[in-house]
Amino acid sequence: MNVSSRGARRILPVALGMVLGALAMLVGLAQAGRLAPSRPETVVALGQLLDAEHRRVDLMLERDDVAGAIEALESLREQAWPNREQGGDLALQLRHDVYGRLLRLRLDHPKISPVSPAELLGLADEGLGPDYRDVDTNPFTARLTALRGEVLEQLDRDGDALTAYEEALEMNRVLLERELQEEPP
Amino acid sequence: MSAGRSVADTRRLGLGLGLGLVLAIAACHAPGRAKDSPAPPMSPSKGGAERDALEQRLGGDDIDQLEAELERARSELLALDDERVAASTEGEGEGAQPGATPPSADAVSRCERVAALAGRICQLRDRMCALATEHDQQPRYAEACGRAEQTCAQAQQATEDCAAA
Repeated sequence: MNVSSRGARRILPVALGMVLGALAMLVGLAQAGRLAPSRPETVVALGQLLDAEHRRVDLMLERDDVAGAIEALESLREQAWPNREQGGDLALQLRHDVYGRLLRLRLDHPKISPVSPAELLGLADEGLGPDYRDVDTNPFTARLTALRGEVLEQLDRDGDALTAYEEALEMNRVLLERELQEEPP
Repeated sequence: MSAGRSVADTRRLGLGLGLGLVLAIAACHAPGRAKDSPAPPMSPSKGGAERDALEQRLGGDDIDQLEAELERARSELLALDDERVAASTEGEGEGAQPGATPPSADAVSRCERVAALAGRICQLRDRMCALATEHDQQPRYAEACGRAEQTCAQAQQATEDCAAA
């Protein structure tokens, strides 16, 4: 074995380890939604649409048009919501905000275009999606998680409701902790 | 001989893995990137094929504009929540919807945000402890209620401390 092949043999595991280490980190970050969204332009467009829709819903509620507000928010469910890879955590937070608002209205106004508790649970689960626990802690996910607990209580699934409340409580505790850690203005 | 070489190779592999992790961490924490941003905009320091592809699609100026738009959207999202917090604290509690004239995001102070969070925490405490009353034979409910009581008390204390500061 000559000197150069011995050197290559020594360096190869180091290089391989570096590549594997970097890949492991990148995969981890991607799964945690910490990398840049792959389609930021979609998130921007979605944010602009939702901004306008939220204002429209505000106006309807000012006129006590709860049915109109519910209808407007229901129509947003048909949106092609970007997933976490496409839109990052922000896209999921936007979705949680819309679904949380809709679910709050439906729970507060059960007689307006009524739906069953099972459908409300479907709404909550659709809004939260499968990976809501991985999203960076934020008020919108916390609210929707707590609302899911209310729906579960309506379905007499108290054990699951308690779990949802515990999750929401922990999210709000984290948010409070963050707020307290910030320097006062 | 071969066993010794294998150990050495393993050590080098471990060294490489460590170096790879350090390099990846350094790359992900490069300047221009908000550490805790939920959806950080693509940073010029990151470079890479992803950005190149997007640049080809949109052009460099548009990328910068998108980055600014993303950051603005995130700020607006949080400000919107602040507005709703203010509206709900002035309104009828948890079920309150945005009022006729929500205050500007600037008007929502840190102490109001702390108070709103404390309100949400204590509402959850109420619900959890109501369940505990219904299921008084099951310790899980009582334990959860006890933890929620504690968190609610801490949050209320934080609200008082903030107001007094």
